[in-house]
Amino acid sequence: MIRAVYILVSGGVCVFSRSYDPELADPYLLSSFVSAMASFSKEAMGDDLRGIESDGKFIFIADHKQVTTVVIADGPDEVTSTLIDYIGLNFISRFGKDIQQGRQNLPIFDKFTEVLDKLIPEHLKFTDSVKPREPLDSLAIVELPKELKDIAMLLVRERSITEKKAALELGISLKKSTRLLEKLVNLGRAGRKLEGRNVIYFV
Amino acid sequence: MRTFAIHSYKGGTGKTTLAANLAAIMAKKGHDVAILDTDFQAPSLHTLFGIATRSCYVNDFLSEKVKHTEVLTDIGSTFDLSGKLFVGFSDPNVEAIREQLAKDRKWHMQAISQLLVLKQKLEKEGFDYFILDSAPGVHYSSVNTIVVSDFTIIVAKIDNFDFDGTAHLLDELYGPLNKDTMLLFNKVVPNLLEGKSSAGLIEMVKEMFEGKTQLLGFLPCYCNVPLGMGSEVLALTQPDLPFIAKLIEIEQKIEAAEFPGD
Ligand SMILES: Nc1ncnc2c1ncn2[C@@H]1O[C@H](COP(=O)(O)OP(=O)(O)OP(=O)(O)O)[C@@H](O)[C@H]1O
Ligand SMILES: [Mg+2]
Repeated sequence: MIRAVYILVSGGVCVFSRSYDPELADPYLLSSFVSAMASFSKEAMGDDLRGIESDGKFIFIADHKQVTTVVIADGPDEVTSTLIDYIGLNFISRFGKDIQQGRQNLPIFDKFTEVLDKLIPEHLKFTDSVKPREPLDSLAIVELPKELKDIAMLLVRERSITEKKAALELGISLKKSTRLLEKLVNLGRAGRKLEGRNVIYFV
Repeated sequence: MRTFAIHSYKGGTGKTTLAANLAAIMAKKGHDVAILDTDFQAPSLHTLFGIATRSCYVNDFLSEKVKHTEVLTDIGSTFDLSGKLFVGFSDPNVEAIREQLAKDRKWHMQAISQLLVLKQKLEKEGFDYFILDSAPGVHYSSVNTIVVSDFTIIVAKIDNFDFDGTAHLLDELYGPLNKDTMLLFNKVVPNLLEGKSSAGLIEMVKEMFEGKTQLLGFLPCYCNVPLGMGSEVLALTQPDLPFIAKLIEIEQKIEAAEFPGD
C-alpha cells in the first residue's frame, strides 16, 4: 500500500506532497526527514530502487535529476522503478520549466494530485479502514463476477485474511490476490483494515 | 475429498433417500464419508437413520455453539461398515425450526463460513466424501450448500415443473457459481425406461440439458422403497433390493465422474 508521495527539488525542498494516509505525520515534517534520506541515498543507492525501512514503513527514492521522487509504502517491494519513474517524469513533463526557473510553491503543483491519483493503481493506494457495505453471504456470492468467487469463499471461511495468505491458499500471485481482494472491497462486500503492518481484509 | 450437495428444484424428489443410501454405499465400500442434514425446515436424516433425539445438531454448529467433532455422530461401527459414516443431524424440534426461519443474512453468512470450515477439517481428517443433503428450491440454506460443494447432484422427476425449474437452476444458480452438476432423474415411471419410450426420453433430456450438465442416470420408481416408511436406509438394511443395485451403479458413476474444473 502506498501511503504518500513527495516530490523534492534541489536543496531538499518539497514542492509537492500527497498523503493517502490521514494518520501519517504531517507531510512537511516528514519531508525534512525524507529529504535528508534522499540526499544521503543519492550517493548510496545507485541505480536500483529499493525500499529503505524506517519506522515500519518503506521509503523509495528515485533521482530524476530535476526532482527527487519519494514514495512511502508498507512493503519492501511494493513500488516498482517503473511506477516511481513514471511519477517523477510525469511531474517534470508538466512542471519542469517552473522548476528550472526556481519556482517552489506554485498552486498549480497541486494539480498533480489528480494526475497522481490516476497514475497509482487503485489497489496500491492506502486508504483508511473500509467497512463492508453488504454481507458476503451465499446469495451475494452467486452474483459476484466469476473471478471473485474463489477468493470470496476463502474470505467467508477465514472471515479475515491478508493478501499474502489468500495468495498462498489459492495458489495465485500476490498481485492477483490483492487485486481481487480490492475488487471485493470496491464492491462493498469486504472490508479492509490495518493491523500493525498488515492489511487485513474481512467480512 | 469430494464434496457434493444433493439438491432439487422441487421438494420430494428423493434427495434425502438418495443422499443417505449413497453415503451408506460409499462407506460400505470402505470410503470415509460424512453426511450432513442441511434441510432445517424439514429435518429428516435422523428419522432415516433411526436415531433418537440428540443433544447437538448441525444448527448448533452453524451457530458456533458446538465444535465440529460434537455435531457428527459415527454410525459406521453400528452397521459394521468398512469406512467411516459420520452423520450430522438437523434439529427436528418445532421450536428450532421456527427459530431457523427467523435467521437473517448475517446468520447465514456465519453458517456458510462454518460449513467451509467443516469441509476443511474433514478434508484434513482424511474423509473421502462430504455429502450435503439440501433443502429444495432456492434460499439461503440450499444456496449455502451449493456454494460449499465441489459439485451438485440435481435430483429431478420426469415432469414439466421439474424440467423447467431445473433448467432455471442451471442457468441462474449453478452456472453463475461455476459449479459442476450431475442430473439424476428419480421415480421414473418404469414404462418410460423400456424400449422405444426410453430412446424418446433420452432424446428429450439431451435436447434440454446437453452441454449444461452431466446426465447421471434414471432411477425407476420402486413401490417397495417407501415401505420402510422412511425410517431405514435400505442400503444398510436390505442391500439386495433392485433399487440399491441401481444406486450402486449410480455411485460408481459419481466416483468416476470427472469435471472440467478438477
Ligand atoms: N426411486 C424411488 N422409488 C420410490 N419411492 C422413492 C424413490 N426415491 C424416493 N422415494 C420416496 O419418495 C419420498 C420422498 O423422498 P425424500 O424424502 O428422500 O425426498 P426429498 O427430496 O428429500 O424431499 P424434501 O424435498 O422434502 O427434502 C420418500 O417416501 C421416499 O421413500
Ligand atoms: Mg429431504
